Amino acid sequence: MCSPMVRWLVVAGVVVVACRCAPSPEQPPVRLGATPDVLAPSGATVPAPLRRLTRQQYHRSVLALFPTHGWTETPALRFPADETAGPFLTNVRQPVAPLQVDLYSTAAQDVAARATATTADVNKLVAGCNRFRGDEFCGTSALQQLARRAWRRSLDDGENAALTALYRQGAAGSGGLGGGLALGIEAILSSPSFLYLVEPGEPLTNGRLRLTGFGLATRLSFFLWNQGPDDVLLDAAERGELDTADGVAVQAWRLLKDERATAQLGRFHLEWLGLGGLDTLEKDSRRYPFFTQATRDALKAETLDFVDTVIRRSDGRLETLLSASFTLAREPSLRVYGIDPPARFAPGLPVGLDPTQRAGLLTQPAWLAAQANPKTTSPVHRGLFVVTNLLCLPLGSPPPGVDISPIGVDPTGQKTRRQLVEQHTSDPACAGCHRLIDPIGLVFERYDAVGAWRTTDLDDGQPIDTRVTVTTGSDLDGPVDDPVTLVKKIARSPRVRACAARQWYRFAFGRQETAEDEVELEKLSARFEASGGNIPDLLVALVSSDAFRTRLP
Amino acid sequence: MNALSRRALLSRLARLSAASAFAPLFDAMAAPAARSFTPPRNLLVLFHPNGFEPGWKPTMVNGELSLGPTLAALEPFKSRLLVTYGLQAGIRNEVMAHSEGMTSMFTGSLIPKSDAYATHPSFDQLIAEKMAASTPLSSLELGVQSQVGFGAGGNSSVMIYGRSGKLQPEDDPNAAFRRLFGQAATPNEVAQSRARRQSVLDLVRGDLAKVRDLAGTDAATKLDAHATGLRQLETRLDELSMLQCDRAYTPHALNTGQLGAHERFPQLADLQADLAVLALKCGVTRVASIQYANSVTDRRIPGVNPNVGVHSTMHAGTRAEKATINRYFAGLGAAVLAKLDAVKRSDGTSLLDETLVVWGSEMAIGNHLKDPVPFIVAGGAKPGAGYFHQGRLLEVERQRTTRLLVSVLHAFGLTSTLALGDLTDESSRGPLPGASRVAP
Repeated sequence: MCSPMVRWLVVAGVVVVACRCAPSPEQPPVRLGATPDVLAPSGATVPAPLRRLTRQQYHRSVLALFPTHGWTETPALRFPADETAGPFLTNVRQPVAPLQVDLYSTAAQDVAARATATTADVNKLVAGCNRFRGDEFCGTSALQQLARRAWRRSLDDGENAALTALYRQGAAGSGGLGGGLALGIEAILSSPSFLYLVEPGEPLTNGRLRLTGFGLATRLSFFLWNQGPDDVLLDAAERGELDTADGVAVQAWRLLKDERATAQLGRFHLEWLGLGGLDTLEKDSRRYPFFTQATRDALKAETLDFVDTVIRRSDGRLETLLSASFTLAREPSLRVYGIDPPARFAPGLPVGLDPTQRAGLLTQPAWLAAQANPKTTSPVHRGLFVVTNLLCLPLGSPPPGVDISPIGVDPTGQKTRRQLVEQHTSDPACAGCHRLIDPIGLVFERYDAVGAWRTTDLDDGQPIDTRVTVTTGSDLDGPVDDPVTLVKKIARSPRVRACAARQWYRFAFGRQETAEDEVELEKLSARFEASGGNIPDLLVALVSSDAFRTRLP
Repeated sequence: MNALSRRALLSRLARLSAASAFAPLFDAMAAPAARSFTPPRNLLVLFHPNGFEPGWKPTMVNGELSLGPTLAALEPFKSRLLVTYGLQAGIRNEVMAHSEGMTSMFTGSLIPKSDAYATHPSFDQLIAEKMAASTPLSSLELGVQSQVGFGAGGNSSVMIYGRSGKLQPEDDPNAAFRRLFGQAATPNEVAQSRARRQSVLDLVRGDLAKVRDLAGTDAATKLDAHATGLRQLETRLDELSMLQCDRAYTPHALNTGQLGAHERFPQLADLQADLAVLALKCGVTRVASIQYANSVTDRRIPGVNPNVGVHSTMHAGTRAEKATINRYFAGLGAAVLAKLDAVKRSDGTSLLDETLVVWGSEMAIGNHLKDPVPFIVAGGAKPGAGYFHQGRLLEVERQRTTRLLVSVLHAFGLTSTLALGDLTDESSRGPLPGASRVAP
């Protein structure tokens, strides 16, 4: 029996099982290659699954359709939670539920009513139209323009006529211009063309489909902005400018430079680092009374600011993200760091940190707190995270019948927490996986359950010992004394770079990769390696790739 | 009228007016049984997370059920309860108790990986399918902070599945009220909104066909599900507009922050219970469920577990902390029974007499034990007249929870079903021995 072993592990709402406890510890499941079975839905893999908008995608797309209305809320924030594939939010697996269809219907009515609530609102929708040409001309023109943006494609004659008919019905009687627009908007937002990421393509000789300009604009825009394309991108698509890899790269750089990319870069890192639940992260309020909503918000803002600064305003390299000894902190996180706010401190300004204690994302309180229990640390969580999310090593489940209670304090006072953790590494049934997980997790024991630096364990009063030998079968292996040394090794690891490229690939397609994707993944990794781990370069290489510009039927 | 013929509409209208007059409708329940019993009219499924352990086991004292401290809140209804002790959850690997516990609890679906979804419909949906034609909404799934915080969106936060996939609960009482009762009030408004809806749907249907041509191979299944949702929506709105019922209920418009606030949990639990009772009372549906939180919930409920979330406490809390949480959830179930019992017809029959409440948990305790999972069956008929032998404790060993659900299906007349989903082994087949008053 491997007791006491893994605490229950939940990342982004999905129980992640922590070990295969392989019968033979000589065969660690070290494999970076195709992992079609890891996170794909049960059964057959789906080559080009139809994605439904996530809550954020619906929300951002609606805000973009009505930019001058000054909204901050949309009905999407009340939709049921999204699914995930791996660490990333994407509604790619389950068909839509009847409840969600109902919610789409009422959401479309609500948005239509709000968009046309006052005369001023209605005027915003027809701004730029020569009103002398009449309400019907201006109203139907506005609807056609909205539909092109919402559906991310041009409209055919039948659709134009249908929108005109809807306008007339809504405008009849006392409806007027506002009534006509409202009925049209309701229909546009209720349509599958808006609610699903449709990626049309044309057959190629190799059996794949080449995405049309509009299909590619959709894929590109949702990848880099998490919302539909703007008019510039749709126009480029219509003119055929996305038909070449270079043309796609030109638009990708434009999108990346735009502020709308910031939120999406942030989202990738939040989900990759397992920080999706940070908003409601639970800490024992007796031990950590300062861990309030303001603290959660500050930790999240710190990580987001740091990511944006490194990628868009600094060298853009993965190594910097994982090893830089500065941050852009708010006061609550300075408190976790144990430093007083410097003179003339303002939230979000760069602050230098002790380079012997802090280096990059894995030493920030957000990640350290998220990968810990409410009251105590969880070496297994932290170690498992590095193994799965940074090394892309898939692990199976612990065998049935094992004790998976949290690792607490030895009631006899004889053993330190480290010794308790090490117990299951020595059990042959558990060692197969835990010798990969535990040494890494133990190095992070220098940080408590909210990410503060510590020298003794509060529960057993013992000094923290972080000297371990990492054994993952990867380039991280070898003796390590302290977390900063390990984190710098991670930051420089080619294997971690290859894994990061893989995670970006999953994020870009909103699905788990299949065996067909491996050739392209190898090319991407090589390119990422050659660029010294430059993230913007990786993203542009990804969208210019054959895989991104085509799909299976 | 394009999707709904006038004749179909009139026949539904006839049934609806009967339903709203609160008349018993047992036409669909002609299944013969060994001894006669009154089949339940409605089904209400309740879920609370992480079981009732430790130390909740009731006892029988002089032939009477003695509930003990954990279930004390249920004292007023003890003659109406069948409390089972010793049922085993359909979990193969305790490590996957949260995910497989949730996917298998009501569907019998074992899952290949910890993040997979159930592949079989839940038992309540089998009952809903049988009764769908008689009500505007085939079933109603409500949640109480089931989709916020830890676990939101994952398979540990879903318990009800239809034929095409998960049916996530609605956590927002205000949105649920609108879904149940619509907004249009006057006949003129109803006619107008119907005409507008038809036009919108015409365009949407055209677009569905277009998208079907443009998208990849799995699009057909997903778009079929979307089309089904639209069809149900349309039918329901037509039927709801004809519904006559006292909708006494004060909707509370809560913003997103309030809906997710820990301290709102008790209020939301109360509002959702009211809504489920109202929906059953008005005949909007015959099958409803309330999901309190989810299997890995981080909810910190004021006065119950203010410092550490429910799931963490059920893992690592003290015995007293766990007992406090268990008493709280027992109280929520008791409150639902009380609300059902308070709805009386003129002949004195209560809604509890017509509504079978099936209340279960996905595991025995937060620490992933698969037995004894608490399952309780309450109400459903006048005392002594129903399928279940109530007012007592039924102790079993090595019997799957799904056997009790098979018994429930039989009580509703679905006697050809002998097992659920993938749980077809000997310990999972057939109605639960000893549960019924009328069958062996």
